[in-house]
Amino acid sequence: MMASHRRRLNAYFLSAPAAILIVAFLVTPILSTVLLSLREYSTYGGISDTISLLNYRDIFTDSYFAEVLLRTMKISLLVTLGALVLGVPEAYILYRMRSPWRNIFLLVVLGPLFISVVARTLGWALIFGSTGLISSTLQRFGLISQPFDLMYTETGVVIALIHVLVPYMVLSVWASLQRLDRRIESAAESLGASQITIIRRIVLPLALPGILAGSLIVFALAASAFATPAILGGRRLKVVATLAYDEFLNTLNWPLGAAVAILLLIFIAILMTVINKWIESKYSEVFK
Amino acid sequence: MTFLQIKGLRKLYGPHVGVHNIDLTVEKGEFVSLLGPSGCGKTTALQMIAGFIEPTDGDIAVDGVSLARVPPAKRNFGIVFQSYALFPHMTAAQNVAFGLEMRKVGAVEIASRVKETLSLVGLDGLGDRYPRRMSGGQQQRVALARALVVRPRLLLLDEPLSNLDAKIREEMQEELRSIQRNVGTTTVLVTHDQGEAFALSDRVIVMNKGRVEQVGHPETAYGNPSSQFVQNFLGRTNVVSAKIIERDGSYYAVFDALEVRLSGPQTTGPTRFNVRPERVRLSSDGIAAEVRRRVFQGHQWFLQLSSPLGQMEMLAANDGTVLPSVGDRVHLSWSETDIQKVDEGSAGT
Amino acid sequence: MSRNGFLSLLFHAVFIIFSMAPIVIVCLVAFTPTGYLSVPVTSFSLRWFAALYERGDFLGSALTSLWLGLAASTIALILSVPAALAIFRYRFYGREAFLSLLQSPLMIPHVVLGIAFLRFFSQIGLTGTFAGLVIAHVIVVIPFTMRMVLSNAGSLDASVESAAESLGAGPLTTFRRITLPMLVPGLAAGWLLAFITSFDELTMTTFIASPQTVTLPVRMFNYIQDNIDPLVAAVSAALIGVAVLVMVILDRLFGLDRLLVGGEQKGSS
Repeated sequence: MMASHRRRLNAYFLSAPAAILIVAFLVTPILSTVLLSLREYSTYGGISDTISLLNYRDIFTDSYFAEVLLRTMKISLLVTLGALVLGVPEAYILYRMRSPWRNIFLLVVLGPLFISVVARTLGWALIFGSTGLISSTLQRFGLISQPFDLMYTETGVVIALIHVLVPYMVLSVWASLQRLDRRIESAAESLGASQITIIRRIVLPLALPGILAGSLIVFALAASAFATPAILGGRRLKVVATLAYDEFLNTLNWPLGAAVAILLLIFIAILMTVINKWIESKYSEVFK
Repeated sequence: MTFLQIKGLRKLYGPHVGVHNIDLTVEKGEFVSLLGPSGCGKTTALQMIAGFIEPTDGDIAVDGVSLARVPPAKRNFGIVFQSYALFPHMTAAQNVAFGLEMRKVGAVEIASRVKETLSLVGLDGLGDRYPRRMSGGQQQRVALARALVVRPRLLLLDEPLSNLDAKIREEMQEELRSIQRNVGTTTVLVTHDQGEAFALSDRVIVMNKGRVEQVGHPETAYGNPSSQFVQNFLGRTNVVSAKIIERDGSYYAVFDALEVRLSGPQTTGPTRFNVRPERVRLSSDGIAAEVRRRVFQGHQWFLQLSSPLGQMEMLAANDGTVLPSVGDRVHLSWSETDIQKVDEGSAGT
Repeated sequence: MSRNGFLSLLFHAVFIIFSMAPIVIVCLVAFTPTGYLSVPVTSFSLRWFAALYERGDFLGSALTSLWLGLAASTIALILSVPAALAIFRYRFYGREAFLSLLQSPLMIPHVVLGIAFLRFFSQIGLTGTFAGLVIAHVIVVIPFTMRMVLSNAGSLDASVESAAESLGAGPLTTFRRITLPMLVPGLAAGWLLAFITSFDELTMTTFIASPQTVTLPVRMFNYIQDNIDPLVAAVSAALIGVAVLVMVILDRLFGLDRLLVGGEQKGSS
C-alpha cells in the first residue's frame, strides 16, 4: 500500500519550512562562528586565513580571562545557591496554599519573567546606588554615616541575578510538586509522620528532580547573563558574556570574541544535555 | 436481504494479527454487536468498516458494492465514538448540523432536521449548549444525534456507553434500542459488556484473539455457547465432572449423588458439564454441599459452596425464601436443560 | 493537607517583598515630580512620561520593537503549526532530531546567538537590517510557539478528526473547521508568549541592531550605561504595564502555570 509512503512525504512537506529556516539561520551561523573562532587576529592585519587554536590557548593562559571565568563561575554558584534557598521553600509554600491565593501568588512570583530584564535590573540600580533607597534609608535613621553603594559590586550583581532567575527555580520545583499526589502527604501524616519527617522523607525526595533541574537552569542562565552584570557590574566587573561583547563591539577582536562565545556554548550544552540526561535517567523510575 | 457483507477480513500489524479472517453478513435494519474482551480485534474490525484502517486482506461491501476504494468521508456512515469526539468549539446544534453542511443541505432544512433529531434523542431546547457544559449522558445523545441526522446507511457504535454511570447506561440502552427501531438504521455495536450486547442486539458476534467464536441470537449464545471461551466470557459457570451411563435404554449423567436423565443417545463414559450459577437449585436431595460464603447483591444472593464435585457457585433470587447461612449443609440439583456439555476439543464449532 | 504555618507565611512575605521591590521602585520613581532620582512621597507627576513623548527616540524604538515582535511571533507561529502537526501525527526519519533542533535556541546563550548572527549577517549582507532582526527573533521565539502548539495538539482527541471525516469533511475542511479552531487558544497563548519574549529581548539584539533599527530594550540599555534618571524609569514602568497586561491575558487564555510548566499536568482547580 502507498499509505505509509504518502504519510511520510506529508510529514516532510509539513516540517520543511521550519527545518530550512533552522538549518539556514541557526546551524549555519553557529558553524560559521566556530570557524571564525579558529582564525587569528592582529590589530593591524585584521582577521587572517590561517586556522589554529591560538584564541583558545590565549583564553586559557591569560590571567585576565582566567579572572573573568572564575568570577563568572563564582557569581553563578552564588546565584544558584541563593535561588535554591529562596525558591525551593517558596515553591512548597505556594504548593500548600489554597485557591485562590495559590493562583494569585503564583502569578506574582512568576510574573516577573514577563517583565524586561532591563527594567528589573534598573529597579535594583535604583535601590543599590549611593543615592538609592537602601543607602538613604539607612542614613536617615542614622545607621550609617557614609552613603554606601552596592553598584559595581559582585554582591549587587548576585542579588539582582537571584531576583531575575529565582522564578525559574520556583517554576521547576512547582512542576515536580504538581506531579505529587496531595493524598501522599495525608497518608504519611495518618501513619504518624511529623511535619519535618514528611518534608524530609516524602516531599524532598519527590521534588529533588525539579530542584536539580531548576539549579541547572539557573546556573546556566547566570553563567550566560548579560544585561544584569553589564548594568550593575559596569566596565570593571566583567563576566564571560560582557567580555565576549567587548571583544566583538569595542576591541573588534572578532575571532577571540567568537572563541569565548563557543566555549560558553559548549559549557552550557554539556550542562543542559549530559547532566540533564543523567538526572532524568537517575529519577526516571520515580516518574514514569 | 444481505446489506453489509464482510468477506475474509484480515488485518496484520507487523507480525501480529489484529483481525483474523472475519466473515459476516448483516441484514438491513438489523442490530448486531461485536462482543469480546479488550484486544480481541472488535474495534479494529469496526475501524475497517468505517474506513479509518485499511484491511490487509478481504473485502467489505454494502448493498453489493465494495467499499475498498471509498474514503470514510464518502461512505455515509454514522459513527459514535467511545470518547463521543464532539467538536468542543461548537454548540450541540452546530455539532449536529456539521454533517448536513458537508452534504450542502440548505440552511432551512438543516435547521428543521437538527431540531427534529435533537428532539429524537431527548435534547429539546439544549441545542445552544456547548459540550463541556453538558453531562456525559447528554454528550452521548449529541453524538448519537450527530451520527443519525445525516440518515446514514450504517450506524457504527464504538463502546458508546462505557463512559456512563451504571444507571444512565441502562436508560441509554433502552433508548438507543427504541431509537434504532424507529429509524430502522442498520447498526453495528462494539462492546465488551455482554449485558449491553444482549439488551441491544438481534445477533451477537463473540470475538476472541482476532477470530469470530460464535454468531447468533443472544439467547442462543448464552444458552448454547459454541466453545468454552464463549461459555466463560458470557457469564460465570461451574465446570463439573460427570459420568454418562446407559440403563434400560435411557442415558443418565451421574454427578456424585445426583442423576440427571438425558434425552437421546449419548456416548457413555466420563465427561464434564457447564452449569450456570443461576441454574443451580437447592433441593431436598442431590449433591451434598456446605455453604462457605454468602454475599448479598441486592436483587440476588451469591453463594459459594464446597461439594464432592469441588467448589460451586450459585445465585439465588432475593424472593423472600429463607436461605441457608454459612456453615449450613444443603443439597444441590439441576436438570438436563440447565447443563451444557464442555467442549473438550479446540475452540471451533 | 496542613496549612502553612506562621514561619512559612513570614518567609513568603519576605519573598514577595524581595520579588516586588525593584519593580515597585521603578514604577514609583517614574512618577517623581523632581528632576533627579527620588521616591515621590507627597506628589506624583507625569512630567517624565511627557518628556518621553517629546523626545521621540524611545517612542520610535518602541515602534520598532512592536513591529519586530509582531512579525517574528507571527512568522514563528505560521512555521510552527505544520511542523508541530507533523511531529505530533507522524513517525518519520529525523523526527527526534528535528524536534530538538527546534527547541535548541532555548539552550543557546543569547550572547552566542548575537555573535553568530552578527558574523553571519555580515557575511550575507543583512547587517543592521530589519529583515535580519526579524529572522534572528523568529529563531529565538520558535521554541515557544512550537511547544505551545505541540502541547495543545497533544490534548487533541484524534477521534474528533475521524468524526469530522466520517461526516463527510475532506482533509482541508477538517483542518479549517475542526483542528484549527480547537488549536486557537494554544496558538494565541504561544503567539503572545513569543511576542513578549521578542519584545523584551536585549542581549542578542544589541549585537545586530543598527542605529536605524534600535529596539526599545537596546535603547534603554544604552541609555542606562550613561546615566540613570527618572526618564528611563518611566520607560521601564510603561514596559512593566505592558507585561502585566500580557500576563493577565495569558492567564485568562490558558492559565499561567499550565503555560509555563507545560501542558501535561492536570489543571489545578
